[in-house]
Amino acid sequence: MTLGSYLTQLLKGNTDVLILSLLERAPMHGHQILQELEATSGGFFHVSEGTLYPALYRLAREGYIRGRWAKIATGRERKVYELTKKGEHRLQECRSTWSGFARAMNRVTTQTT
Amino acid sequence: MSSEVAGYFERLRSHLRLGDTFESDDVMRELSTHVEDRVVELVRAGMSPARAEHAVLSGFGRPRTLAHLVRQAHLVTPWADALLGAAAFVFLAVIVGAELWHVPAFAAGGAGLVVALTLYGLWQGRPAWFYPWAGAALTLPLAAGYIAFAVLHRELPALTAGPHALALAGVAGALLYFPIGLFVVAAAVLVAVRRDWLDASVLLSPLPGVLVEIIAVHRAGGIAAGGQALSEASALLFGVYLGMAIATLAFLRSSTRNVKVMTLVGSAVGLWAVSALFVDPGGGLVALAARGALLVGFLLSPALVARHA
Repeated sequence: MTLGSYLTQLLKGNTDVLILSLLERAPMHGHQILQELEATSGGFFHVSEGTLYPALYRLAREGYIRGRWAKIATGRERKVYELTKKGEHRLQECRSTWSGFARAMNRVTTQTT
Repeated sequence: MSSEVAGYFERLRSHLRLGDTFESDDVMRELSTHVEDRVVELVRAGMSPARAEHAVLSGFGRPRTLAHLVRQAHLVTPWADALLGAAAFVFLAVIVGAELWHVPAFAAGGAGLVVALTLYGLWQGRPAWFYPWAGAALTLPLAAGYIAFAVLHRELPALTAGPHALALAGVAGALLYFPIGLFVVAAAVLVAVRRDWLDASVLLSPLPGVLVEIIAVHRAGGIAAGGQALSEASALLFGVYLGMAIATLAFLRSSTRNVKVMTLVGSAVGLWAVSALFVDPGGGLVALAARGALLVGFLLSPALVARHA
């Protein structure tokens, strides 16, 4: 397994959480989500459009986010997504699961004999 | 929009097949506005417009792959819609289990409700819950088909005694009914298959149960005598339709095609087992196996239609 594919797999499994986390801060449209993700992660995370939009549609179908067309600052109309109450709960659950996971990973991967 | 972008979106739309044009248009609009924004961003960063468009489209991936992923994302049915879809079988379970089909007012009211919900679903753009209700609506012409058959059965012998206008009209009407009825079912399947053959399978799923009941009624001696046979099996039929409601709920809620196919096959197997008990308890292994293959084949036949459509 290359490092690149390891990172890809990690990102694949966490795309939903990343999207929900960004939408917790503010409603955003797809392009904004990609920009924010790259900026906030210091360029570490780069999600392709082909990954982002199916994830957005799936999260919307499951009721975690809601999309609606709205006029943005430039005066153009964009489909803006926001977190729902169900999405907030889901994000909290994922955060606590992630904390436990990260703690356990650190313990195992940093432990020296 | 450049020809490269226009060509990409044309190919994407041809593969998307969300069925409902409103949903497809919404997806296409959103993705094209993303292309607009991203191209502006890349051009500002120094890229040429043509290279920027190419880079953005590469990020989307191949149109066929993106369309497949978007369609899969739309496969997940929200709980409310899934419960409404499953309610079609719960409705059939109550009608049969409580023998409400005996009562003309309930029978007519029930038929009206099924047709009204089907038309509402059509108007809403055929959401996932529409297909079980549309399938329930198709059982009405199927049941009426049996009445046409009974008319034929009764009037044909009268014709051999000599021409009789009423008998002729009855026979002609009954004979015409079958091709029209088959056309209606075939047309409904073809329209459903265009979006997804799984939708067409759900559309067909109420039909075998009703067909089993019709066969049982006929074997018991027709509508008058067969009603008694149905009454005796009302608890069993209630269970069958309740089982199909659960299978429909699982089908609508699952997000993978394999699980959806498995619930379809599972419900066919359940129906096959019940038909073996109810219609032909003394039937041999060959007859049972043939019936099972026919049931599974019938429910999965839209897949074949989709291949050749």
